[in-house]
Amino acid sequence: MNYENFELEDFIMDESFQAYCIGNDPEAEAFWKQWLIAHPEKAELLNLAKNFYLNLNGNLDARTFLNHQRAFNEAIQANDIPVSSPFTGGQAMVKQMHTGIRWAGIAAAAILGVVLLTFWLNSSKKNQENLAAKPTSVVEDTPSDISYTYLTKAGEKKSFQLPDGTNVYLNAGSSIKLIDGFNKSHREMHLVGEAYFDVVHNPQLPFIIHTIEMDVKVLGTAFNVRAYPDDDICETSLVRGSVEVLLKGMQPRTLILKPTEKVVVDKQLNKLQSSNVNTKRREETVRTNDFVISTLTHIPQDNSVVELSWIDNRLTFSDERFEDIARKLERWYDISIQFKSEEIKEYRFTGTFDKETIQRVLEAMQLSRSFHFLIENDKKIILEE
Amino acid sequence: MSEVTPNINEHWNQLREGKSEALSALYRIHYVGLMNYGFRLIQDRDKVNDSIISVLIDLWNKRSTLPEVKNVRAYLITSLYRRIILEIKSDRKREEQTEELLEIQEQNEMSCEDILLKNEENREFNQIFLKAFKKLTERQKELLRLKFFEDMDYDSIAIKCAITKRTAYNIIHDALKILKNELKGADFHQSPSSGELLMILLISVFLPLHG
Repeated sequence: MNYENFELEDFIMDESFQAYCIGNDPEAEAFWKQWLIAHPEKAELLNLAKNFYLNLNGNLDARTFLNHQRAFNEAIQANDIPVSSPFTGGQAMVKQMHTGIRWAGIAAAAILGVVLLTFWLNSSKKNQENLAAKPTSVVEDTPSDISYTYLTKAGEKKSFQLPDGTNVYLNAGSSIKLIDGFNKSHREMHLVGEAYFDVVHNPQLPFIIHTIEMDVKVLGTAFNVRAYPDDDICETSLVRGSVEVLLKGMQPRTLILKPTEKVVVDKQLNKLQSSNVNTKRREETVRTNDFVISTLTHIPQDNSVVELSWIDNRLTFSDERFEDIARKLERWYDISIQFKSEEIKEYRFTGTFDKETIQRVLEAMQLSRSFHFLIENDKKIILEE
Repeated sequence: MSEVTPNINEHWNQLREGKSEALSALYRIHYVGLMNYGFRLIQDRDKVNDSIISVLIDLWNKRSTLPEVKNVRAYLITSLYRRIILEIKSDRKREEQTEELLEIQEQNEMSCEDILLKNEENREFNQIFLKAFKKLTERQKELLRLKFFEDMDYDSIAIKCAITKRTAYNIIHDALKILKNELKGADFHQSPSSGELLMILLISVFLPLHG
């Protein structure tokens, strides 16, 4: 299936894409997450297709399904219906679906593609420790039309230089695609995930980053953009210089950040703003706007900046919810985390870790709040009270 | 046509053989169809979910006596309908109301536009979407509803509307294209054509590079 040429309506009509929007097929979810990282330039189109589809399906999104599926799983347990494993039960079944087999094949092919790319990047990293990633050339429509994509998988970070000399640190599970003509007629790119940029000054060619929620425009400056599609928030943190941020959405707004400021867009709040859905969490966040500008958070001990700590290989949380921390941990350690309790999702933690194992991190967190964890096969973690 | 109808009977037969994994597969595969069907009867998604779960657990408990069925979705819909009616009746008994119980059936049938109005999240997008949706023909709206809201496969849609699968597919494809073009005029971004949106950006502050 050649998704690269898909139009909006083709995505909406694609069963695998629908399953990704609802979250009711783990294989489809894995496939589309990978596909998105490999095609950061399609992030906005996919986001729009998803909004389209959700409007047509009665707004049954992944969050709704996940909550309902949890009730289903609890009922299964309460009725003593045997299940092989809380994880594999569902996934094993997918492979037996006819469509599932089709998709599994395509997903495997796509993931293989990604693995090959990252393997190539890895091997170059070994040769040259600090200049890890080189652009991967992808030949598109015409032979002369070459574009560059940089990507990282979960548990991996890279630093590299763009053709204009700009230094980039790319966090785990992220990708950057340079738009054709980069450093010739413009300096524009698409980003999915998180990256830190130290931009080479060039007033003739403004440096522009496109993400789903915001575009960031600069002349010469250092800043961090975090735009993971599966995170609730999207943010840009400015270290020095000045950037303009165009917040997209229904009413585009432009704002200018000053050094040590960041702008945070709460995607969920953005959506829920006008609704009467009131989870405990929403009540805590009393805001009238769907975005806030705040200053960067410093760690008191050494005055380093929380938003940038990932570049120094430090894992940092600053009064964050356990559920949000879990998403960070999943990317950081390339693991999957499952909560068996709603309550502990709301626990909040603050902490900094230097090159600790996931086991040590969780143990340290246990000192602050009581919970239990179980590590399965080094890959899956179950959290409960 | 890229559409493939999943062989849902496979899971049904596995369920009859006592494989519990089939239960969670049925739940996932039929989630949208059952949820939105139930939502037309009672506008409470969590209650509908509880009813779906009850139906599935009930099926598990009588798995050895389950019949072979041709259309699993239709079977599940009927079971869900009975279950929800039962719940509503019990609720009313509890409230000691003795009003007539039978008019529940299709009185809550929703119009095509209603499927959009009921969405609470993302209301802004929702409203622009509704405006565009209203420009479609009744036929187009009906098919979008059957495909995406009721989550029917193309075979079932073809039978229900007395058209071919290919025609059903084309009508839906065209309807989505019309929606897309209607929405293009509205002020939200589609695929990023770099210059266009950024035109509204102010001139950047000029600052020398550090270090």
